[in-house]
Amino acid sequence: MHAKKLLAAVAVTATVALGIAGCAPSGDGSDGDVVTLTYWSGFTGGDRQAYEDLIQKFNDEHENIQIDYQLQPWDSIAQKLPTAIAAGSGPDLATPDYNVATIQQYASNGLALPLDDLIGDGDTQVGEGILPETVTDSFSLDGKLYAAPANYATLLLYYNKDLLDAAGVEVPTTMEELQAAAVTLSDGNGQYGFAIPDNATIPNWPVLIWADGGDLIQDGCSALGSDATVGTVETWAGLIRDDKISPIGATGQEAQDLFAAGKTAFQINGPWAAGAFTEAGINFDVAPVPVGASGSPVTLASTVPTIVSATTKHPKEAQEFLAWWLSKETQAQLSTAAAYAPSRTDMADDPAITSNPTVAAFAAEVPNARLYLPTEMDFSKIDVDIFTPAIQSATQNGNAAEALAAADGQLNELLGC
Amino acid sequence: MSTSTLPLYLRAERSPSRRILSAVGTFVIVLAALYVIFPFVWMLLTSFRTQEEIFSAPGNLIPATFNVANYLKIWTELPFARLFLNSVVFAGGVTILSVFFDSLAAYALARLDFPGKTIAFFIVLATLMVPYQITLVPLFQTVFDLHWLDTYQGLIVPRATSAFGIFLLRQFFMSVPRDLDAAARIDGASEFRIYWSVMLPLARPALATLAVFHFMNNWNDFLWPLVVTSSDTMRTIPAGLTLFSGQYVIDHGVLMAGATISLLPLAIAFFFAQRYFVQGIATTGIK
Amino acid sequence: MTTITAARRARPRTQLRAGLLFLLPSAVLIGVFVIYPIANSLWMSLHDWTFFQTTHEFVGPANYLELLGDPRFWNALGNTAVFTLATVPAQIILGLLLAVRLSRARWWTSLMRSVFFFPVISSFATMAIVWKFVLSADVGPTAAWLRGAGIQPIDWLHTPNLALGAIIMVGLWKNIGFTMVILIAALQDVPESLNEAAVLDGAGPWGRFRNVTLPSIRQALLFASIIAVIASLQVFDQVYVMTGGGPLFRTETLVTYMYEQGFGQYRSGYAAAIAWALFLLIAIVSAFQLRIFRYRDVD
Repeated sequence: MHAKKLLAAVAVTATVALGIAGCAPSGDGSDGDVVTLTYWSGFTGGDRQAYEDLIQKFNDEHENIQIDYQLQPWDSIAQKLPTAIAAGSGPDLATPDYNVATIQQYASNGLALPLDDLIGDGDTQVGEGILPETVTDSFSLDGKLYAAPANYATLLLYYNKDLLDAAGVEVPTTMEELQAAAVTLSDGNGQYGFAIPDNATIPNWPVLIWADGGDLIQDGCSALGSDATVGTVETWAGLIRDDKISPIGATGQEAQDLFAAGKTAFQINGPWAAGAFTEAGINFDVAPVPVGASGSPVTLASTVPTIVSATTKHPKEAQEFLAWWLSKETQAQLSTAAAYAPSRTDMADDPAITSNPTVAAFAAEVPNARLYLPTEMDFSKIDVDIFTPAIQSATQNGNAAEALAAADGQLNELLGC
Repeated sequence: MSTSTLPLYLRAERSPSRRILSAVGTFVIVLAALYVIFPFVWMLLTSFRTQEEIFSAPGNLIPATFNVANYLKIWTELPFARLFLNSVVFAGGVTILSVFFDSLAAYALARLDFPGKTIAFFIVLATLMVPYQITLVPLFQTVFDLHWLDTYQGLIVPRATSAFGIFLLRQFFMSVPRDLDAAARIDGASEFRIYWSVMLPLARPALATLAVFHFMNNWNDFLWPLVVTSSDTMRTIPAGLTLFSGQYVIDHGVLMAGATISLLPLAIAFFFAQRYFVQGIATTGIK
Repeated sequence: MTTITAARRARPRTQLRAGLLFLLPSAVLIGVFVIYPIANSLWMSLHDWTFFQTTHEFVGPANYLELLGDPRFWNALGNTAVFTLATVPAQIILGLLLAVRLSRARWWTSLMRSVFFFPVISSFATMAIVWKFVLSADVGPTAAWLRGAGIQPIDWLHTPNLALGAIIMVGLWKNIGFTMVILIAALQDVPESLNEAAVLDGAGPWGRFRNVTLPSIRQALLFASIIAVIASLQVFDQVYVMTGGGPLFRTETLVTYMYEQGFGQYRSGYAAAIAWALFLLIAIVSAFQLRIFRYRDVD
């Protein structure tokens, strides 16, 4: 009797382990004339609804192409996507990472499809020169375009109207004014003037550096040791340490929470934050990032690429979707719903944009917006091992010049200068 | 709580100084318990607050109004019933299979004598020493090769046995005195019968403990289901809740509501399963 | 004794067959879903393996040699060691104290057990977010209370010398209940007859604890401490959520470093090397523990 029981147990194991009870693997996505495209997207959180509504709209308007929109956290996509594409089982469309430079990895390893059919004069195409140059430059490798922007965001200076009014402070238009205002609005005891995050954030420090004419990389070599860069970091680090205008070592989420709690008067952030601040009941407005010593306005651009899998069975339909995504109508709806600037350069006068002051404000900065390390394959290493530690050291230990000199050396070594 | 239920020798030791020591000990434990429970209290109360309230009045624990908007949001925006079902199938399936397979293997390693037994144990132990994050991608590849992505078997089978469980049960089996199963062996009972009728009943606290661990670990696991599933219909509760946190925006109120919902079944299950842990002094001992 | 030995000798082949059959399901599953991916990672560690590439160059021990000269690795190793040394003894001792105190069936012990076990059954990913908020010197409740009382709150998570302390505290909060539950289950099996015999021999409570209780729960203690050490050396969740390894890498542990290299910088081969270096460390420490506890059943 025991033998039977044991054999039964083993048989069950074997059955289960050999997966005979399996569901059929998902088909190739064609059912008669309807092509179903799988789209792995990372837009969880606040923007979710805006994207889902647009996908629904696409599905409603297109009988022969349907999008199976599968939402997952960014980590999850990053872990699975390359393997899935290489195995031919991946999605047809995906947002691989919110870091632009990752596209270079996908493109150079043959995982992303060159979007040859996307740009053109046809009905289901996007015209030449419509997409911003910064975008096409950073999404291209060897002259071919490998991704389309899922969104395009710029950063603005959020300010708390109540706090400014109470202290009689005007909205700053230059960096010097911002510095003075931040000092006035800090009380050294948990009330900050200008919360500046330095890790796990949409980059803030590069904006401050660019504003004063400094940079991280210039002409292919490190600019971290340049006078402009060092001077800027020293100034701001001094204000943070001595005047307590910002917490030290804050993440993007923490700085954002501070603004939502009314504990910081200024914060540089993107369109996604507006909804969070409104919900938190803050009386806020946005202004362009103040102009620094360089004399020109500058801010950060952030764009999330969407790629088509190199192993997709429906390259034409996938590109058709991307063209639809980039159409004026879709971009207008995206802008209205999520306050992103449109990814097109020809919509500056579009009523959908101009009628909404917040959207218009973000869209207006597009010509001044730069991407952060867009084409560096070693993007992560530069950010995590070189740049951020230098900034953190400057604010924690007050040794900006030293820290940046060391970082300068490391970066040059990495870049081969 | 009366002392009359204690055995004689313990009753005799309750002198005044011991009672004071005991009372102090109890007091310390209660304080510690309050500290331990505090984050959960905060979590529960915050789940009823709006973002505005959370940020404008962080020091107020009690919400101004008991706002169920966060719970409604989860209920309406997620296919909650489906997520719940998936969580139950996943955690339940793994628990049942794993307790069975783990105990079989543990019994073999603890009681049976065969060559390779020690090596087998060390291999089992060794697999615990490699961090799971490093196996995520190869595992994804394996599950894909089996065509098990986005399926229940893909979720359950790779977890159907656990080194942790084998290790735990082996230790428990080893601490059971050998007389009983040796006697059964002499009587001619098969190994399986000894395992099933003698060992398992004796190891009830250990089995219950393991079942609780397996269930809660898999109930809470969001990483593995995210690796194996991509579609809404197969997701589990924690995996589904990750959709509410964006890269830059955490809606704390909703997150807390989700965490509360996810924790409740476990808390209830544990409270009832506790009966298997503590049987009271009177019933232990060799029967 | 002789009858047992005789019985054993009489059935070696049955035991072999039963032993292998009993192990079979677990062996198959562990082989396919645990050992194979692990072996895969060992293979990766010997290559210059970037996540996206389809071909990989064999480089032998190059990754491991790089580890030896990597300051960030040694920093992570140091942090991990400090975390483990601070956490494990506390977890075992406090867990044992709680287990002893709460193992008898009274009305309030049941409630207390549930309370201490609550952190164990909760999702660490979420509770770490809760702790981060609670500990926040800017937007958290404790900070608000302290400020209200005129005290400057300590910014635990952003102060380089204190951040690891917060990580340790949260780790203990999460895991003491685990040790407690394991030991309670073990304490249940301590035969009352042994305690009574000890009393007859004149042993007081401490004597009974040392000579009856502790030896009886030896196997469970071994289990609890090995698991505690392995889990501590692999600490990840609360660091990832609460500090991201900062400030200034002061809370970076081996697994968070491994994760960052593997999924942040796409250096899969190097990350695998870190994992195997960690494995070696854990194996050495565990071997040491097994020796101390004399893992073989010596009845």
